[in-house]
Amino acid sequence: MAKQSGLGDNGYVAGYDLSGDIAALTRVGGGPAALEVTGIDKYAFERIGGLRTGEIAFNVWFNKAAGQSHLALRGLPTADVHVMYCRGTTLGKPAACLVSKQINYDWARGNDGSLQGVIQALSNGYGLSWGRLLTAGKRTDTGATNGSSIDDAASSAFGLAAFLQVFSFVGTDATVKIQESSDNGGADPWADVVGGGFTQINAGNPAPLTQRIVTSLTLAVERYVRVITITTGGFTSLVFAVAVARHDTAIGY
Amino acid sequence: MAFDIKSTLQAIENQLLTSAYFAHVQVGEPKAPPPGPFAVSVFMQDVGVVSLTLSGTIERHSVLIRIYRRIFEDTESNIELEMAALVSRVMSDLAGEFDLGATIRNVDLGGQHGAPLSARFGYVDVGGTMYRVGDISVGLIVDDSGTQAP
Repeated sequence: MAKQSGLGDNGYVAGYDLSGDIAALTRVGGGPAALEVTGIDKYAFERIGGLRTGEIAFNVWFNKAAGQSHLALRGLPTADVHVMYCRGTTLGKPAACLVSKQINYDWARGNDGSLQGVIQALSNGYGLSWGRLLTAGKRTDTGATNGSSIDDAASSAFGLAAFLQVFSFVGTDATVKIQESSDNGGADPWADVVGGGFTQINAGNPAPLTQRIVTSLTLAVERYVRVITITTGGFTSLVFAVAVARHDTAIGY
Repeated sequence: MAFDIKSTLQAIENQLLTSAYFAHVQVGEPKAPPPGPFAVSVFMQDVGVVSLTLSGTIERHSVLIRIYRRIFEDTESNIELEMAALVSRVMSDLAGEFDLGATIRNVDLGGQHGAPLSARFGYVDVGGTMYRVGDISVGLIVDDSGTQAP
């Protein structure tokens, strides 16, 4: 795989696609705090992993159009704000996902007339998760749809976390689910991942919305995974994005 | 989407048409004397990408607005005063219509990414007729007219 630039990325915040308003990502990071536990018999520091953290910080241009930066970010809610950075927008591309608190909405108006905001999202409850896109950037379904799959090369045994951003929805109800198969739906037909269904989208749970789910942390997940949408009352348009972070090793939340 | 420079020219053309200052508004330089005592033409100077968003481009489209006044139809002082007043009004309108009716992000008044709004005066011959001209150089910051592909 060749080295890549950051061209053609996307950024989603709280069910809004702000890709055209985000001028730069100044930090996408996180990880465990290092706790020093050095013994007197050691010649170098000993460290163990402590609390995980995560951060996505970005600069944004002022845009007061519907669904753009000002409307999406001005609320400064105390509730969680989900942020998803997509490194490219094709199926399987890496995506950094964060359940966070948006802690500021700071603006600088330059003497040259420029108007740029600085936004920092700090993790809440979980660290930063790097996963893969199960949708090609934003996906638009006009009815129940079986999405294309991604191949993770091998099965895993420690469950997964999945992140959903819903940008718009027209219809009665829709449910987004993750399915798995060991051979891309051949001899092993597609089956729902246990605990891999998001809460139904409907009038009581409308777009824009975001959700994070995590399966059992000892769940075996097959090699191939995909996202499907199902409905009971029907829908005509669902625009959404899903990223899945498969746990390659044992993890605790 | 390809870089949408045509729309920028049309946005400026519409701005000048709605101002109703001119009997004739033309995109491109006139080859024959334009009708009326005052005329205006619009043409591109340069275009460049000045910044990127995550998925799109931010460009600066630099446009020249040339205002024409026949120089032998009035006294020199009247022509000079009329030109000064008209150039001022066009520049004020560009400052007051910061996003040209939401067709662009903003007029680059202060020189965010290049030269600020400015005007120069001179003389040109168009098809044998002499004109006093005012060249208004205006930069326009345009969002997302080009998209990136990795």
